[in-house]
Amino acid sequence: MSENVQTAVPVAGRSDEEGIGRRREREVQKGGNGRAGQALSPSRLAIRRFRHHRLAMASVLLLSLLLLLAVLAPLISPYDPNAVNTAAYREPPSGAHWLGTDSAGRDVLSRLLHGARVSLTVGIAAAVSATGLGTLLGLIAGIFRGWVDAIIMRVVDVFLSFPPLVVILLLVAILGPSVTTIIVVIAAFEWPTACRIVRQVSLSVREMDYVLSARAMGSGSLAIVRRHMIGPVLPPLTVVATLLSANAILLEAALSFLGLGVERPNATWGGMLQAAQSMTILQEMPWLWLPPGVAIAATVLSINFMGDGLRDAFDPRQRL
Amino acid sequence: MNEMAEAREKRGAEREPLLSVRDLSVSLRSDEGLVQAVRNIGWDIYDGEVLAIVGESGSGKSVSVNTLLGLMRQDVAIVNSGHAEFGGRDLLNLGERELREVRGKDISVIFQDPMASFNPVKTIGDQISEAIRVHDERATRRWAWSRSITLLSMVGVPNPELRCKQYPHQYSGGMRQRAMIAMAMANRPRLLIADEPTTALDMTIQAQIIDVLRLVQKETGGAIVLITHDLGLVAELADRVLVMYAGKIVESAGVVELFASPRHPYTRALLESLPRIGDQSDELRSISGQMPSLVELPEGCAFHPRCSLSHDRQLCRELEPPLQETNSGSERLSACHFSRELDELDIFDR
Repeated sequence: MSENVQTAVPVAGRSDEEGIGRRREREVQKGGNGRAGQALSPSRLAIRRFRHHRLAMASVLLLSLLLLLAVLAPLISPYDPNAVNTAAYREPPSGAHWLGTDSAGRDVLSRLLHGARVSLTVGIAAAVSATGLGTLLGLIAGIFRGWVDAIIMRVVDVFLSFPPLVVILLLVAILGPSVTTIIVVIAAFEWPTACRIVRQVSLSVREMDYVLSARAMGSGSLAIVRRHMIGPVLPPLTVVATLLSANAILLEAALSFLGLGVERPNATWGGMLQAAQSMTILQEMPWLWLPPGVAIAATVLSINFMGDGLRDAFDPRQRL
Repeated sequence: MNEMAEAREKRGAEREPLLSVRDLSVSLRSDEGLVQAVRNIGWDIYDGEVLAIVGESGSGKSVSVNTLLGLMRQDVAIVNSGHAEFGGRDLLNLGERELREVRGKDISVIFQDPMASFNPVKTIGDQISEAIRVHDERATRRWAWSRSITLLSMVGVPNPELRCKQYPHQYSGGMRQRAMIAMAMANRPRLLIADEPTTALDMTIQAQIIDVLRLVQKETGGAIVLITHDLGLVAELADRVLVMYAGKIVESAGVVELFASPRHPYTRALLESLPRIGDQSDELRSISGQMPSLVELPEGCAFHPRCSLSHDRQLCRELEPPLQETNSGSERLSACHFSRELDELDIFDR
């Protein structure tokens, strides 16, 4: 009768370094809060694992800073990003213009800050709408199966068989460049990834014994989706959403670079790169292409690191 | 195919059965073709009764019961015929919404594998509470939680307040099965279906679970359908036994009579294959041969190729025996042409 209360004690004898082992043990005791036998919920364990992921935490810090700067851009920009000043033509960085000025005499720092608004808006909005749409269709496909599933998955196949950049270029050219168009078009080509993942997870979850058991207790389909499917779908979706947003930012930069991004003269990172294509600028005026280039690379890299950290954190096989 | 109904009418309709299954046939789609998993079976269960359905794997025990609750995969199982009267309604005619009302409230199921029957990332208390709140809209979260604690302590889970907050992985197998039983009885069902409730557990825990099931029955006063291949469990718990073979009921009897003198050669062979304390032989007895493929059933009695009584008689080979009374007026039913010959054999005579 006496059932031993199990606690997640680190497995002894594993070939971990002594130091790591000890740290884990301490963490476990801290997590136990002195209340024997009460385990942390899986989501709290995931949060804790994420916080131990240094690279991911640094990325989150950088991205939060970027987000803050983007939100505050109108307040903190030293100049109007679109104010043309012929007197300050391609000036190198100075006290007045920290990152110099471009070919129209506009302040590079101000344009960089305003460009962040566009990039982050596109990245976040496209990723959120793509995962939202993908989740909805994936759940529908996974639950109803049969011909509904077949139709949705064929549509997914169709979307995945297009070269996205070419079609997106075409669509933007037809619809006319604007932030909304770019978000819609990018989302339209990114939802299949999320849809496939959600469908696959929901198909495997619905075969679980605990779903049968829930049905036997009288739970309806909606309750089963809410209680048993949203949970397992969320971790891979979060990871996908981060990667999709990185992808969206890159796509937006590429579109702007090709001249089909946001309407001019609005500042975007890709647009700034496009304006810096000439040999003279590339060789002699690095302040015109280095800042937007670094900004794009750093943002995308950080988002990817964050995605990695999330993936590791959600993996229950990872300990602390 | 209504032999049992007729038998009951002859007895005079004393009590209304709680659940009355008639002429149930279920086929399953498979790669080899249609599997005749359940073939024209019928049975009754009364309030307060423990009815055991015994048979080897693949004899149709679980399929017949899961079909009643609409728990079979709809793309696999086809109900060819049948009625299942429960509380004035035919379970097999109910829509999904009405069936949902029945499931977990009037009829609950305890599954074989308590490891897999709980969601691993939700606490036990959360899952029992949900089972309560599905059927009772007025139940608050807090009320359902405290009821979960009561239920857990009822089935003998020590320290239920703490155990409610724990996850399935923190439970041992026996405790998890107790929790499963607690969840099944959460809404005081009139019928509890226990689908091999002790198969995944070791012997000592099995005995405890049997005690819990007894207690639960006393508590709710409902009926239990016990699906099992464990004859020991049948002897411990059941009042009446149905023996299934190849999708059919081959024998139906009270538990004492069944063990004392089986009226079907298959039942007899099952009982003979039980190892006994004091038995000196080195080998376990088994029934030679295999159950026939349910895709292509042999003509005649499905058991005749393995039967020790048949001696390859023509009747056995050609005519499938109906389930009928062994003696007129008796409640014992057997589907064997030569069930009377079994009288002469003593099963303990080795």
